[in-house]
Amino acid sequence: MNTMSITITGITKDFGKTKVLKNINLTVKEGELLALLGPSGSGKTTLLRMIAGLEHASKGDIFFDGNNMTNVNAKDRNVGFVFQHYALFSHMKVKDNIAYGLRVKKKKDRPTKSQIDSKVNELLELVKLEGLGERYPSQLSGGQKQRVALARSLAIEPSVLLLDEPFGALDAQVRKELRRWLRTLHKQTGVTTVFVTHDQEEALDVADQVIVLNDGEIIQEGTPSDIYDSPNSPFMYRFLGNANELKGTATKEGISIGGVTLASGEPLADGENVVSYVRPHEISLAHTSGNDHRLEVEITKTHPVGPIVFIEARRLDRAQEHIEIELSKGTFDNLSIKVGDIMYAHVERFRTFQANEYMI
Amino acid sequence: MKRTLPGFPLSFGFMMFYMSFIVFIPLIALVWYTMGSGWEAFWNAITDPRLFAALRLSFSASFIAAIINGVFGLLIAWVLVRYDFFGKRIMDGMIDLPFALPTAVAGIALTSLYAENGWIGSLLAPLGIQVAFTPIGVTIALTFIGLPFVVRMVEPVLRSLDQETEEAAGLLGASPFTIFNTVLLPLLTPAILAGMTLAFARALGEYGSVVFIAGNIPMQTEIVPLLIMNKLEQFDYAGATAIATVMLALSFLLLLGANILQWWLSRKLGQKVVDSSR
Repeated sequence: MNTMSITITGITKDFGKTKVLKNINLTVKEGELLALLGPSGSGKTTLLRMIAGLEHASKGDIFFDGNNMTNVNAKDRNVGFVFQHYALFSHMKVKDNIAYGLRVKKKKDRPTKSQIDSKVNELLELVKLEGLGERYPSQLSGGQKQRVALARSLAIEPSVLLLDEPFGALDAQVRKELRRWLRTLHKQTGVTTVFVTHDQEEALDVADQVIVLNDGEIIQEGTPSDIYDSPNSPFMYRFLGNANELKGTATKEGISIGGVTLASGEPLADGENVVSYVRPHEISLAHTSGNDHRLEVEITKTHPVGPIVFIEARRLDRAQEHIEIELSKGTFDNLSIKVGDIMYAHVERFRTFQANEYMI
Repeated sequence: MKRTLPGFPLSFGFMMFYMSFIVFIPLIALVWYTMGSGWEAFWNAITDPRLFAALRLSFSASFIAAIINGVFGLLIAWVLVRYDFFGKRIMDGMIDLPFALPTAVAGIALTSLYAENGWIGSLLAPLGIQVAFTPIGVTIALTFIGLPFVVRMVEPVLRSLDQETEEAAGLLGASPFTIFNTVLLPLLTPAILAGMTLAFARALGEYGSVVFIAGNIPMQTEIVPLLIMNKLEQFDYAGATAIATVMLALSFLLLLGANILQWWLSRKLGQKVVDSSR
């Protein structure tokens, strides 16, 4: 399979006055599995549809392996596309759905009937739907339908594979299975793949590379661990999952938060309003204040879920503000924490941003 | 057996009661009167060559009108659903005019347009085409009154189609023409056929709009409903009911056939279209 890289330069899209995409530049390497992650309205689906040729950019260019595809028709781009709601041909059997892309080829490029049949069987096997070729789409479950859609898009041996929220319409269990299966499939086929999702867990779990979009702009790009371990902005912290927000002021010693000062290596001007982000599992609790700086908190709720205990605590320096802490069951039991206990929270890892950045 | 959907006996009873009063009893009465007048009268009425000519015209003109409405009704529904243009709502409302207009009004309007001295008729006359008082005129009148059926049947189906399905076909390399043939048409065919069947049935029974433009020349431009009216005007009730009974039987057979075809095609056609593109 000759798979291709995708390069996007200066893509801008406006619908009237609203700018959906603002000067997007990105590269998807050959054979890479890339996730476009973002909240709804971030422009990620528009970008994907542009790569497919279903939408047209107001400005900018799209290249497959260095060939400018910007003005090439969708039908001539040779992309595989999987829609969130499957978009199967309901009046055709599963095998005819899969064969469609081969049958509509021009006569001189069209494989023979027996070649098509063997390709269809090969794909049915690949997507683990052997024996279901004679069914109609309405006789399949959601997960099966999506696998048919995937097989159909792979039949034309696409240069790139694009998936628009492919698991969005499925329930949690099927979703997890298909996620893992997509990874394996990608390893087997090696086709350059871009998939759009709003689910950060899905993006971090499946992709080699993640690009986070918000309001038509790329906020951060990197490997899943880059993205999770070092979010580059308050938006990223809030989008990637629950992080505690601690408002404070920058001082010469560090960040002053409600009477405690946290040492910070970040260059912030003295007296500036700042906000620090701390993940719940990056906070530890102790019954004594110890010698380092700790926030005094009152435990208001404990909620064990399997091996992890979720704890809510009220900050005593700012009575209205709560923080969330995650401890392992073992640590929780050792400390014998009870609701109402006054404890001391130690922030082990945090990241600080200027407050005006946060205000935007 | 316990039914999950309640109310079957009551609603079924009501349906039968209603259908009996509105449809079955009048039809049975029709057949009853026909039989009452004796076999010979019946035989004489239905072997009249004028009736054969009228039946041929009624069925063929209605059939052609239904085909024309199938093609153009689909086109109109397509434009109304898929494009936005100025005056779309007004256009959409005008589709139903042939329903609302008293058919005689339509007949008079069409006749004056297509008569040799009418706007369109005067343009066609030099070409040697005569519309008014010919079977062509009958077909035009029947096309006019049948237009709304196909449009109104196809519109909601077309609107409910997921455009992503067409996008998917396009991304797999299908040309717009292939997409229409393999994806859209199979899904629309049941609605088109249903609309055409209704238009056909309506055309068979149509009287008002046709009699003016047809000219009613015996053996040439007489339609079956006109023959019935003629018999009634001569107080030949037995003859009128005999023709009506023949018409009823033929219509029923044709409509039944159309429904079976529709049912069969809606299952088969998708598959056939795929096969033919091989």
